[in-house]
Amino acid sequence: MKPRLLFTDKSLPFILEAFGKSINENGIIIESKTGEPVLTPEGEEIESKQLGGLKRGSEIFLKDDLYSIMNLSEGKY
Amino acid sequence: MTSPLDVDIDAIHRYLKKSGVTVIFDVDGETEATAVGSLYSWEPKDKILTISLPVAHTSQRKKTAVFKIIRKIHNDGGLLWKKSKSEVLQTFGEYQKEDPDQETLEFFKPILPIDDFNALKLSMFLRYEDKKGNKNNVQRFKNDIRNRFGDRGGNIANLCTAGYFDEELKSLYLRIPREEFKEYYEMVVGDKARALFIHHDMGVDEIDAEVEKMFLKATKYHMGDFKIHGKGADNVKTLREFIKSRTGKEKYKIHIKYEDPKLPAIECIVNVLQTD
Repeated sequence: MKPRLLFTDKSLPFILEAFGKSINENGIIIESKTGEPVLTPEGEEIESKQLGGLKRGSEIFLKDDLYSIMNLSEGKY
Repeated sequence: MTSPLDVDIDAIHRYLKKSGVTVIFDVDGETEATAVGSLYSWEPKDKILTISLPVAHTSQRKKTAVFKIIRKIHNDGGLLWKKSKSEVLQTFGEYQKEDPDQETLEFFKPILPIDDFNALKLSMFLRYEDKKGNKNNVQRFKNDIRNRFGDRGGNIANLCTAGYFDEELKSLYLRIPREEFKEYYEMVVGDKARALFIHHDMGVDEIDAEVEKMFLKATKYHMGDFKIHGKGADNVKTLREFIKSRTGKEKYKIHIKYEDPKLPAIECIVNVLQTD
């Protein structure tokens, strides 16, 4: 079983920085270089407080709501 | 010469090679490990590797090393997930393994629109948590369903929790023509004409107004009755007050069909007396 990493809310900016992402003035997660918003597989922008996590393939950013958790559990991402 | 940081990084990589390791990453506060200048601590029983990095007082070299570790976990296929939502993820996984609603979900999969079906799947999980008594999660999950699937999704959650999918809708689908079922389903799910669910914002006057609306829908759809559900001490109390306040001159008659004093919950049938 592969290791998984659980991050605290306070460590989110650091996690994002590891992937070249940051949070803009509206609280949206963006590409640090371009300022473009990061999108979920459903094509939605993500408020930093709504981020659930990050999955490989290549970088899939997921929300923390029940629908995203269901799809993640069902291997749909 | 090998630095203490290099020693820590080597150790972390060794632990990451073990199967089933959970890494907890934090940037806040001092831990036993950071107090003695270490980057990590290891708890062998549950295979928990805690990496603590007080970012404000950390060198760029250390940060870069930790960035690499985080990216490696990700590149190796490990999930990075918010700690405060890890319990929900785990519980959902357990629910999937147990799969108590498989039969009903398989039944409705080819029948329902995809969004309704997804709302139903989430609602089944909500009901599972509700039965286990995890009340804190229930309202949060209901909000998630409503935010994702709108008012229709919220209604599906209410109907699912009250058993409409397992009982009424399932048996009806097997008994009537498909087109008729479709119309009935829209009436129940889209137009909310079959059941009224009392929520905590409703007082007796609000229930009265909603029952009037339900009465008009029953008239429109030529239905002989509809139901009112009250769950939770406050909702049950308000619903009882509403029933008590009826004068007997209404165009409908209410009787309690079922009550569970433990939950507490009550289910009422409202018989439509006059539909002209």
